[in-house]
Amino acid sequence: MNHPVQIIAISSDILEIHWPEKISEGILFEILAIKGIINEKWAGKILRMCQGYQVLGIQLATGQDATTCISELKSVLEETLQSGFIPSGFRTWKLPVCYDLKLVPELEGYLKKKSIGLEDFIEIHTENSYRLYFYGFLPGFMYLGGLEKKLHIPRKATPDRKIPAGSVAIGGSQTGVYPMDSPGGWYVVGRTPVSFFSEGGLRVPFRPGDAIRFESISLPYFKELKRKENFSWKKWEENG
Amino acid sequence: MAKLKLEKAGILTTIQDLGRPAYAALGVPLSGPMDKNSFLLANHLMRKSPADACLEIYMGDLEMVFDSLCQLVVTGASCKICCENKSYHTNELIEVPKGKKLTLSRFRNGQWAYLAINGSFLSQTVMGSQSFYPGITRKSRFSAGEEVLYQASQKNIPPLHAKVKPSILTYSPVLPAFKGPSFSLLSPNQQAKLNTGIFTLSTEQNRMGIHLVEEITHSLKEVITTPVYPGTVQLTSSGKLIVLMLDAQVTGGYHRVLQLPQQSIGTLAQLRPGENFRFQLIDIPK
Repeated sequence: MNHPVQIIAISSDILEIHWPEKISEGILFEILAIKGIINEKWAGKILRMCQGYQVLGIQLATGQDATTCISELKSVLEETLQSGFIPSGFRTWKLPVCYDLKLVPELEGYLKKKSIGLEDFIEIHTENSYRLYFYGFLPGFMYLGGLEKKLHIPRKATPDRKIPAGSVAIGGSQTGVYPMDSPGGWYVVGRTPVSFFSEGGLRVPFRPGDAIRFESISLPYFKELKRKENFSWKKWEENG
Repeated sequence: MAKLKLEKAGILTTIQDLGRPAYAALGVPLSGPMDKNSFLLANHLMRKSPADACLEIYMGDLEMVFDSLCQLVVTGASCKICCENKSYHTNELIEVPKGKKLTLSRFRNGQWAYLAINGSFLSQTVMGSQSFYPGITRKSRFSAGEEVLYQASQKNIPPLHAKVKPSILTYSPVLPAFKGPSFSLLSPNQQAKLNTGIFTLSTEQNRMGIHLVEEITHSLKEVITTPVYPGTVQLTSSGKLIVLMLDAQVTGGYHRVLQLPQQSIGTLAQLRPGENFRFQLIDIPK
C-alpha cells in the first residue's frame, strides 16, 4: 500500500474511500484498481460510484447494510493495495484543437492577461500530455492533470453565460474541454472539432487513466474534421 | 397509443423515473424525482413498479386534455384538481373520460407533484432512463401545446383500491442530517450554527440545487474536487450554503459540511423560497 487509506460512511447508504488530499497519479491508479474490483465483485450491492481526485464514493443499493459493506470493503482494499496491482492498458490520445484567432477570438483576452505570445502559448499547451483523472461537472467534462504552471490563470469572477460546446479552456490550474454549451468561468483558448457528448452518449474513447495531448490544427483542417460524420480515432492514438 | 395534450404546461413539467445511476463515471447526473416518497407513492397507488416514469410537476397550473379514458393519481404538493366540474384530492384515484380536461391549480403548498397513470408514459430513454435532462434527453421540459404520449393499461384499477389520505406538508420542519466530511473542520460555533440555527430557502433554486439565505463565514482552505451526491450540503468559499438536489453535478470543489438522507431531501424540496427549517444532526446507524 503506497498511501494511508480510510473508509468512512457519510450517510447510511454512502461509503467513501479517502486517500490523502492531493492530486497524484499514484492515487488515481489505486482508485481505478479498486473501482475495477468493486465493479466486478460487488455489482449487485452498488447503486452508483463517483470519483474525485482522492475520494471514491460508493452509493449502496437499497437494503445493503453499511457496516457489513465497510468490513468487506476493508479486506478488498487491503488485498488490492498490498498486492501492488496497478491497472494497465492506459492509452495515449491526440485531440485536435484549433487555436486560430479567427475561430477563437476569445483567446486574445487570455494571451493579453498572461502577456504571452500566441505561438509560445500553443507550444506550451500542446507540449505535454494531460492525465484524465475523471469526468465531472458536466456529462463528458474531463478533469485533466498536468497543466504547465506558466499557463495557470484565476477563474473569471463572473462566469460567462454560455461557453460553446467544443471549447478548450483554462481555469485556475486546470485545462479542459466543454462537452456541451454551458455557463463557465474558464478562459476559452481553443476549439476542438470533435463532439464529446451527443445523443446520450460519450463520443470520445478516453477513459480515466488515459493521457491526452492537444494537437494544434489549422482552421481549414478544423472545418474539414467538423464536417466528418464519423471521426476515426485510429490515427489519433499515440503508439497505438 | 394514447396521448394527453398540455393546454397549460406549468413552469417545469418533466418526465422522471429513478434516473441514471450507472453513468456517474461519465459525469452524468443521477436525476429522478425531487420528492422521492411522493413519486413512489404515485407508482404504488397505480400498482406500478417503483422505477416507472411519472410526470413531475413544479408549482402546478396545468390543463391537460386526454384523448381516451385515463385513470390517474396525483401525489405530493397540495392542489385543487378538477375534472368535469368535480374536484379531487391528491392520492385519490381519478378517472378522466375520453376527450375531457383535467386541471391542476397553482399549488397551495409544496412545490412538486407527481402524476402517475394507469399505463406507461412513452418518451425517449437515454442511458437507461426517461428522466429529462438538458444535453442528455432532447427535451428538457414540456411546453404548452405539446402532447405527452402514453400506453394505457388494459386492466382497470377498481375505484376502491386507492384510499390514502391527501398529503399534509409540515411547516418549519426539522431535517435530520448526517455530518459531512468537512464538518469536523468547522469551529464549535460554526458547528452549532448548522445544528441549531434556523435556515431559510432562497429564491435561487432549481433541480440542481437550493441556495440558503443564511451564510456561515469561515476561513477553511480550499479543497480539491471530490464526489458529491443529492443531499450534499456544500459550504462555498464565500460562506454560502448550497443543498445539492437530484440534477446536481457528480463532483464538486467546495467543502461538504452535511449529507441529507433521502427523506430530508424530499422534505426540503417541498419547502418554498422564504420558508424556514432547521437541521438536526444524527449519527449513522451502526
